[in-house]
Amino acid sequence: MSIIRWSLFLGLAALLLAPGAAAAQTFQSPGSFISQSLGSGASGRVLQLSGAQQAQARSIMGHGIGGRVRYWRSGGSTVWILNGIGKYKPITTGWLVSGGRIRRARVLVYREAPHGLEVRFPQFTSQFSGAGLSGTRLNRGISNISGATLSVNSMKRMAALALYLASIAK
Amino acid sequence: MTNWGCKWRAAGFAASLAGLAAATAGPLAAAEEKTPSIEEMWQIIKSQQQEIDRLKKANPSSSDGAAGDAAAGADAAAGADADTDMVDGDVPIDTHGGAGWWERTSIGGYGEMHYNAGGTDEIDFHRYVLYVGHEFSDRIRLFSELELEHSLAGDGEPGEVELEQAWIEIDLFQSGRCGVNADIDGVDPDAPVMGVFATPPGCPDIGTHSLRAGLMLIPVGILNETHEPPTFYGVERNSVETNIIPTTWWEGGAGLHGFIGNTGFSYDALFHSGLSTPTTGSNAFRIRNGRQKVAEATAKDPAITGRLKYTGIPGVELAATVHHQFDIAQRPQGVIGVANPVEATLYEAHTDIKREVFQNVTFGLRALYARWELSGGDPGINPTLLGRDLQDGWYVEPSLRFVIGEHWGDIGFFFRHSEWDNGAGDSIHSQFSQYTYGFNYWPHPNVVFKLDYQDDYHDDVTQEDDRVNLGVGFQF
Repeated sequence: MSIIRWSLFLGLAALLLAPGAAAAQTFQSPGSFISQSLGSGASGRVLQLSGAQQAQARSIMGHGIGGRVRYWRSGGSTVWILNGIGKYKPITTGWLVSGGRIRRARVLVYREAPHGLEVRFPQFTSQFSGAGLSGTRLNRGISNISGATLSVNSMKRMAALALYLASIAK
Repeated sequence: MTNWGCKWRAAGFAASLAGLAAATAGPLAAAEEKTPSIEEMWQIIKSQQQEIDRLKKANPSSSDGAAGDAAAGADAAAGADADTDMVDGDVPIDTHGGAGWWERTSIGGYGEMHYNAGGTDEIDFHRYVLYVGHEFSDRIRLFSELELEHSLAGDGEPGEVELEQAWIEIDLFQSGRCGVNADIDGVDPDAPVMGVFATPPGCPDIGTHSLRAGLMLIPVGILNETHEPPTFYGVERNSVETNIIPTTWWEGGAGLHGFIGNTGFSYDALFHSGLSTPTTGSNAFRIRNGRQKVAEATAKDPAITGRLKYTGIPGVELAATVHHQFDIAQRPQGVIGVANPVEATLYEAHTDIKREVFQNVTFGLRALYARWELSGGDPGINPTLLGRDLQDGWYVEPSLRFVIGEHWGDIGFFFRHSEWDNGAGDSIHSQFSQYTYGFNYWPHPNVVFKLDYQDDYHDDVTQEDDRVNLGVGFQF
C-alpha cells in the first residue's frame, strides 16, 4: 500500500518538473484569422457608432462597448475581433460575417482554461455558421455546454454583436 | 574743402529712404502672406500632398470615397492593429507579470434562499458562496470558494462556514502553443493582408493538461462540480446526488485534468483523502455521513477517482466516474477486534442534454445512476448488517425551457423521478421514491426564481415530506 502511495506522489512530483507552456491559450492570432477569412484585399476600418447604435450594442452585450469599433472588410464580407467576458476573463473571438450571416467563428484567445474551454472546439463553434440576427439575439439556438454556460452565453452575445455591427457598417 | 553740408543732406535723405522702407516693409509683408504667389501656393500644395501620402502609407486606408463620407456612423480609414483589443472599453489583459494583483484576481459567487413548506415549514438562506480566483502566472492559478450555510454559524447556530474549494492548477501542456497560426517571421502584423496562413504541418492539437492540488470537488455526478442555482431545476439539489454521490463532496489531494486534443473527451484522475463513515449506530456506513470536508480529516486510507467525459456533441454531455477507497471506515488496523478494512467502490454515469427543438424552445434531459459497493469489515462491524453494502440511486429529469422575450427572460418546466436507497443490500424496504414537478423562471441568465412540489414515497411514512418549495438564487 505505501509503495503505491509513494509511487503516485513521486509520479506527480515528476510531472511538476515537466516543462510547461508559458503563455496564455492563444489558438490563432487576430491577424491570421483576418487573413484566412478575407484573403488578399482586406482593409482595416473603424466603425463610428451613434448614440442609438451604442445603446443597441449595449442591449446585445449587456454592457457598453464604446463608440468606435475596428473591423476589416473585403467586398461584402467583414471580420470582427471581439472580446467578451466568459466567467471572469475576456474571451477573444473572431467572426466572419457575410450576407447578414456568420460564416466563420473562432475562439482566438481563451483566458479561463480549463473552465468553459470547450467553446473553442469546432463542434461548438460550427453551430454559429449560417446564424443571423433576430432583434438582439441570434435567430437560431446554440446548444449549451454543461459547465460552460457563461462562456457559451458570452459567445452568443458576441455573435449577435458581430451581426449587428456588420449590418450598420457601410 | 569738404562739403559737409552735402554729405549731411545725403545722409539725411538716405535715412529717410531707410525709414520709409522700414515703414512700408511690414504692410507689404503682411500683404504678401495673405496672398501668396501662385508659385508659393503650388509649393504648399505639393508639401501637403507629400504629408498625406506619408500618413496614408503609415496607416493603410479605405477607398477615397469613404474618406469624404461625413454621415453619422460612417466608416473611416484606420490602422489594422490586429493584435490588441479591438473593441473600445475592454481592459487589456497583461498576462506577463506586469499587471497589478487586482487585474489577476477574480471575485464571484452565488447564493440561494429557500422556503420549504410541508412538514419542514422553514425559510432558510441555504448558502452564500464567495469565489476568489487568482493568477500567479500564465500557467499557475488559484481557485477558492468560501461558503456560509444557513446564515448564522457558531456554537449553537444552524449554519456553517466551510472552505468548499481551494486548489492550485498548473498547466503542464497547453493546446495552441503548437497550433498557433504561423505568422511569417519579419512580417509587420499591422500591415494589411499578407496571404493565407496555415497551421504548421506536423503540429497536432495535443489538448490542455493540468496538474491540480489542494481541496477540490470530486469529479463525479452532474451537480457536484456545477451547482450554482441558475444551472439546475428544483429548489433543493436532487436527492439522489445528495444521498448517494454524496453531493457536495470535496476532498484534499492532487491529480490531473485535461482535454484530449479537440476530440471532445476530457479526463480527471485524482489521488485524494477519503470518506470516514461511522461504523456504529443508525448511520453506520452511510455514505453521506462519511464526509470529512478536509477538516483535520483522518487520512489513514486514501482514495482514487477517475472520470471520462465526452462533450463532443453540442448540447450533450456523457460522463462516467469510478472511485475506490481502500477503507471507508479508516479504522486503525491491528487493534484487537478490528482486522479488515471496508473497501468501497463508486460507479457513476450520467447524461446531460440541452438541445433546441424549436426556435426559442430547448428540450433538456438529465439522467444519472450512482452505485456504491462496500465489502469487508469484521463480524459485527461491517456494512452488510444494515444493508449498506449496496447503496444506489438514479433519476431522470426531462425539461422544456422557453424564451419569453428579450426583456422578460426564460421560463422552464421540469419533472423529476428519483429513486434511491442507502440500504439496498438487504431485503428491508428502505427505498425512497420521489416525484418532483416545478418550474424555474430566469429574468436574467444569472438570476432564478424557483417553485416545485415534491411527492415522497417510502414504506415508513414518517420519512415522507410532501411539500411545496420556493426559492430564489443568483450567481455573479
